Amino acid sequence: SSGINAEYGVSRLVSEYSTRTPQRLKLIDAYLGYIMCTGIIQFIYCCLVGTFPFNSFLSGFISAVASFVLGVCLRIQSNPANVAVFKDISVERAFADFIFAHFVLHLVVLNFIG
Amino acid sequence: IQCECGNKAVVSTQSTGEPTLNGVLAEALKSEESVMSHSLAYLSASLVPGDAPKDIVDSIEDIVHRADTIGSVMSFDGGLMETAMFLKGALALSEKAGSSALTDAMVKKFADYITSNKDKSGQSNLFYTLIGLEALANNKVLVPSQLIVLESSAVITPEKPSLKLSLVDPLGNAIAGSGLSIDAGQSIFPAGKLSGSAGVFEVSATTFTRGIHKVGVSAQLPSGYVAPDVTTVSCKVVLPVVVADTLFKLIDVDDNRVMASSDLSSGPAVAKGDLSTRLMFDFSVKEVDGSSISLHQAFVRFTSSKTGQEVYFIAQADLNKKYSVDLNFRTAASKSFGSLAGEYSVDAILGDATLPSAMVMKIATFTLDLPESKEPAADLSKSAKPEISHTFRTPEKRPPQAISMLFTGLIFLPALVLLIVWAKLGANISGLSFSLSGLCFHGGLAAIFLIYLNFFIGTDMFTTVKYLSGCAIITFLAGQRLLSTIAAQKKAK
Repeated sequence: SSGINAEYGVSRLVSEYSTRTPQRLKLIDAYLGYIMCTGIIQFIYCCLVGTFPFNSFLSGFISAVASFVLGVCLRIQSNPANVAVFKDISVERAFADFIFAHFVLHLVVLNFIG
Repeated sequence: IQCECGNKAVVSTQSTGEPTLNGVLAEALKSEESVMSHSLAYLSASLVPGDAPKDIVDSIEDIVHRADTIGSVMSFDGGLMETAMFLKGALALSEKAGSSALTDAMVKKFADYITSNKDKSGQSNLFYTLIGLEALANNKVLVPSQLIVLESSAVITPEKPSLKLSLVDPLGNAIAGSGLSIDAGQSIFPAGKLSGSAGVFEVSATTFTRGIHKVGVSAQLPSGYVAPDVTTVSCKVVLPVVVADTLFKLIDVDDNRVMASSDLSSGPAVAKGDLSTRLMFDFSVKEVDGSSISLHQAFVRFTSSKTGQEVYFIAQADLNKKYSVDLNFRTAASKSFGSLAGEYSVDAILGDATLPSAMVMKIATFTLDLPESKEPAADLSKSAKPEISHTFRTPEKRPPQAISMLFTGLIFLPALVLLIVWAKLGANISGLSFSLSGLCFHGGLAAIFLIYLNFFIGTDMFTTVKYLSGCAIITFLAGQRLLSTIAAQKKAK
C-alpha cells in the first residue's frame, strides 16, 4: 500500500503541477532543468578525465550552479503566490536583477576559465 | 722647457767655462715651478765648473718636500721619471756642494719606490729605473745599502753550515770597506765580526738546533753610505729524523683478541681485516740523538689497489710526542672507505719545515673484507660526476581529444531540448516590441555577449571593462525603459 501511496503522490504532483502552475513558472522550470543537465554533464566529464585544469572545471561548474541559483531566485520572485512577500519587487524588476547578475557572473566566469 | 735649453747651453759652453752660466740658470729657474725643471737645473749646475750656486742648492730642500710618502715609499707626482731625474740632479749637485738636504730616511724611501715598480703608467721605465738607481748608488753623499743572503744559504744543515751575507748598494754591487757582526746571544752562530772582504761575509753555525732562528746583525759602513733597516736574518736549521717504536696491531673487537701485531722491523706487515677489526698504529719521531719531537704533518694513507682512491687519517700525538692512529672499521668502513673492500697499501707520511724532505714509509698491505652488499660501493674518486641537465616540469596528461569533443557536443544537447520544451509550453514571443528601447536593449545584450566573446578569445580585462562600461549604461537605460513600459502595459490590462 505504500507503493500505491507513492505512485498516487507522484501522479497527483504531476497533475497539480501541470494545471495549477502558471506558464511563466513552467518556462523557468524548464530552464532550470536545462541548467541542471549542463552541470551534471560537466561533473561526469570531470569524474572521467580528472580535474586538470582545475580552474576551468571549477569555473564551468560554478557557472552552472550560480545560474541555477539565479533562476530559482527569479522563479521565487515572479511567483504570483509570493506577491505579498515581494511587494516592492515587480516581475520586471526581478528579471532585470536576473539579467544584471548574469552579466557579472559571466564576466567572472570567463576570467576564471582561463 | 727653458731649462732644457739651459742644460744644452751648459753642455755646449762647458769648454769655455763661462761663470755667468750659474746666473743664467738662476734666472731661468725663477720662472719655473715644476720638479722636472728644477731637477734639470740641478744637473746642469753640477756640470758647470766652479762652486755650486747657493740658491739652487737651497731649493733642493723645498722641492724634496713636494714628494709624497705613502707607507715606506717616497715619490713625486710625476712618477718614476720625475723621481729618478730629481734624484740624479739633486744628488749630483749635493755631491758637488759637499752636503745634502736629503736625509737618510729619504734616500731609503726613494730607493724603495724605484725598486717597487709602482709606476706602471710611464714609458721607458727600465731607463728611468736605471737612472734613479745609478744616481743613488754612485753618489758620494748618501747611498742606501741593503743586506742580502747569498746562494740560499739561510737553510743550515750539518753538511752546509755556512751562512753567506752581503752588503750591497742599489745597483747590487757589494760595498767594499764595510763590516758585519753578529750580536751576542745567538743560539747557532758565534758572536762577533764576520770574516770576509769587499762586502761579502761568511759565518759557520756551531750548534745545530732544529727550527727557525732569527739572527741579529749589525752593519758597519764607510762614510757616505746609509745603514740598512734590516737588523735580523731568518735562518732555518734542517735536520733528519728517525721513525722509531713502531707498532702495528690488529684487534678483533668482538672476541677482544689481538689478530696481528708487528713492529715492522722486518719490513711492511701483511694483514687482513673486516668490519669487526680495530687497526692501531703507533710510532714516534726521534732526532738523531734520541729525543722525541713532534712534526707539522703526520698522516697515514690507505691507497686502494683496485680504484686508486686514497683515504687519509691524521696521526695524533699525545703528551709524550707518541703518534698513533686508531681505526675502528665498523664505522670507518662506510664513513671513510665508502664500503669499498679489497687490498689497500698503507703508508705513513711525515712532513715538516725542518725536515730535509717529506718522508713516505710503507707500513703494511691491508686487505679489507666486507660482506656482499647490494648497494654499490660509494664512489670516493674525485673525478667529475655526470653532468646534470635540467628537465622541465612535464605537463599533466590531458584527456584524448575525442572525449573532450564528445562532451562539448553533449553540452549543447540540453539547450536544444530546452528550446523544444519552451515551444511546447507555448512560450510566446508575440510581445516582443520593436520600439527603440526594445531594440536598444536587445542590441545591447547582443553587444555585451560579443564583448565577452572577445574577452574569452584573447583581449585583457582592461579593454573588456572599457567597452563593457559604455555598453552596460546603454543597455541598463534601455532595459529599464522597456521593462517599465511592459509593466505599465500589464497594469493597464
